[in-house]
Amino acid sequence: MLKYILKRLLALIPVLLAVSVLVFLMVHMMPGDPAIALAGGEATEEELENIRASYGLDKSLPEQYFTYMNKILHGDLGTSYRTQRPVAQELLIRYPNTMKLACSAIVIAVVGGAGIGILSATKRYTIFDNASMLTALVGISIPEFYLGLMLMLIFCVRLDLLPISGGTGPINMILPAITLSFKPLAQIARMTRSSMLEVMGQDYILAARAQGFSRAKVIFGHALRNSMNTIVTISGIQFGALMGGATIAEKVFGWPGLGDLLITAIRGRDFPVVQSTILAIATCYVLINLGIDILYALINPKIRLG
Amino acid sequence: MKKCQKGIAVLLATLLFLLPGCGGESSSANSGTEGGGSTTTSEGEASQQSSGAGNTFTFVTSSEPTTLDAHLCPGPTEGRIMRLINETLYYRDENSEVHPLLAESAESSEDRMTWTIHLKQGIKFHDGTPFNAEAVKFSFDRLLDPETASPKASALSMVEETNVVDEYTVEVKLNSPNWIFLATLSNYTTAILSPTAVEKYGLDQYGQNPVGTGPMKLEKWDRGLEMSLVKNEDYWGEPATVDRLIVKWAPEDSTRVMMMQSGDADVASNIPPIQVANLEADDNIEVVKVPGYRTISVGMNVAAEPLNDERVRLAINYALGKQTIIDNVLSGQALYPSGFWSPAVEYSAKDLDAHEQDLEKARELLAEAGYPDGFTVKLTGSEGKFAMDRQVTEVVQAMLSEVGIHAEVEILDSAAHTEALLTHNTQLFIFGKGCSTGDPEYDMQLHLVTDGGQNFYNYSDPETDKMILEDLPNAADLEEREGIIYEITKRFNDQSVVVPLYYEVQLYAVRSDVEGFVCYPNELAELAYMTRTES
Repeated sequence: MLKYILKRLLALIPVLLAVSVLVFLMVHMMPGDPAIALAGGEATEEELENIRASYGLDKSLPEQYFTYMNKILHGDLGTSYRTQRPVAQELLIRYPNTMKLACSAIVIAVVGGAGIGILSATKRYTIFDNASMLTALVGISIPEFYLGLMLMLIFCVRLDLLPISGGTGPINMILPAITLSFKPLAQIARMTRSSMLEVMGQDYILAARAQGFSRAKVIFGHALRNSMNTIVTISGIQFGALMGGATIAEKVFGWPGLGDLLITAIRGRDFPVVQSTILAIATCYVLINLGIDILYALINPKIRLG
Repeated sequence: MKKCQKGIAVLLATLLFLLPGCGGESSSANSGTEGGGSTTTSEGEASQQSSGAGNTFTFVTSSEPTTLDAHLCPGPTEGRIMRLINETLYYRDENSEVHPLLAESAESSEDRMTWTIHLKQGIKFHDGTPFNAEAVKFSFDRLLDPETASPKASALSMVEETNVVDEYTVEVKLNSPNWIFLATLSNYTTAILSPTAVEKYGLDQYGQNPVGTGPMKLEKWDRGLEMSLVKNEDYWGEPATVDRLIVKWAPEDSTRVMMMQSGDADVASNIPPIQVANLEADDNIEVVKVPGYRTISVGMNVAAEPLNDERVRLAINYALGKQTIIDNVLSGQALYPSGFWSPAVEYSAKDLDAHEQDLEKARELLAEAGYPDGFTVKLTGSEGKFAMDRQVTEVVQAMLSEVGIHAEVEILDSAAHTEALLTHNTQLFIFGKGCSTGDPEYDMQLHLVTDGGQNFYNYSDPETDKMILEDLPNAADLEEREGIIYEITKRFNDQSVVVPLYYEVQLYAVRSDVEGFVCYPNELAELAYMTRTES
């Protein structure tokens, strides 16, 4: 197991290298000159040249890439063109914000989704089952943007229960976390339900019941354990996606996370921020996937028949 | 062995999960001087809903200011806040008239190339440094210094050199005669910075630690979350009535509107036109509408066919229903156009003809020019650059199709759009033009002169060049100057190189119990003198 982990960690290096080259190329091939984006189109050619020179944009692409990678290897993630601040500082602030949000959303999604899925599976074809599966369908289909704004309208404006903005504390996290949890929750609910139903139809479950194990023990002890694979896999993928892509919810709620940072940086052609942020997200994604794979291998259930 | 391995493996797996999140909490240990994200203070903020509490006001805008360094401020979002801290020598009031602020008075030489400015005395920066001619020279020089790489250095492009005559007198030598130099000094980019502070913090940090002479000082900046400014108790002029100004930002339009409705904010900028009626219906909210300097137009690249034919350009002009666009796309919240410069701009040409929609005339002109069946053309629009920009582009496309012109729409994001315009990679395009100096002359040099820095249209007219570069600077008096400006604008207008669609109106939402908020035509605002009426 340890060997496997080490191998996977070593494989990180070529992956991140490839990502860095890809991002660098994409960012520099985007139409839109950073100097123009910064100066706003009123600057003279001379001023633009000056801005380009001060950011090293007048050098050749390979030269710029090596300067950038050299800095990274020395721990310098670059300086934002727009704010003059070190990118590392921005990331240190934004990263935990997105992490907090993603974690809360996933926890709600897993607990809620698994719960609904289990209940649906055990009460299959009842009203509860139909209602929850219908809600899951709506949950998967509803645009995040719309859901976020509606929640804000109801809870912040009409009912005046929650503040719209003003911090990254728990109370500000409620609505964005719920908004982000909807889709994964719906997916987890549906998959849990079908996975449970599949497992519950197996012979060994019938055998366990016949041997006198209580319904609860059978569900949680056996059926659920076998469905955990699916739940963990989906959660992992969703979590990775949330880390990199909570952009819409962040925009709607003004939550200062990575997605918001990235979109603003792309719009402003702030190359150092774009490159370093994407590298950071990619690293995070790869590490999370590794974590999921390990967890997956660990909880692979051994069926105990008594 | 196996159990041990498994244990380590579990530990590692959990660590890998948490690793990405690690190191984040230590940011709260960052010292406040760098404005590092102190999450601890922000959670304290969340519990006190600032608006509605005495003399603390909350202002919400559309994006986080990138810097408060006057020389690096890219636009009014930054300028609005920065001007509370760093003041200019002159300012424009609600009627766009120029008045002295840090200056006392000024006179110019006969040839209008040397300007002597007398500064107000006894003023100190927030850090105790005296405000004097040295500070003015320092600030002007820094703005023009290539090392600063200021995006708005062109604001003082006419300045040859700045000299200190005595402690409170500055002499500025220009490279050509100028009637409106003092108005140029109302541009927020020319604000005076404390030399001590600039030297102390350097180019990369001054933007987060600005020091000026203004009515307010920066208290705290939680990056990504909010900013707060406090009253400068030692202000030289009328003291601010706002004790504390909290600046927040919400990129989503609807969020800003909801913050107003829930009372989370006292003032909100950039209200989308479509939400105005909704907000006006709310008794607790007033919508402030002030015409700005921005003209939204259809521009044409006249270098190639068919746009090089004036009849075709006129046909396009007649095909566009300006009133329809104003009523239906802008919900009526815009002004009917005439010339290329908004009437809010001082000395702009007034009452020029904007042709209202006449489809018959348009088709006639097209037939006359040899395009009875219309033609295909590229229409470049933007998204997110100004309110409803995408929708305006789509409506223009629809209107053109009614006279047989098939416009292929290309929507670009802000940076790509600007680049397309500057590199003339366009045919027809929708764009917005502001006016940084509040006066047409500098704008004309950029837009109408052959090969001008913002001549997106490939417009080249020797008569226009002469009028702008020779006649205008050498006008005998302001009246003659205004006449020349009128001639130039009319000439440009008649050739229909640009079809103005409407003049943008600045839309702010203000809580009804808040008084003293002022919105200026140059996109700045007065945020230091608000008061709350008891109701």
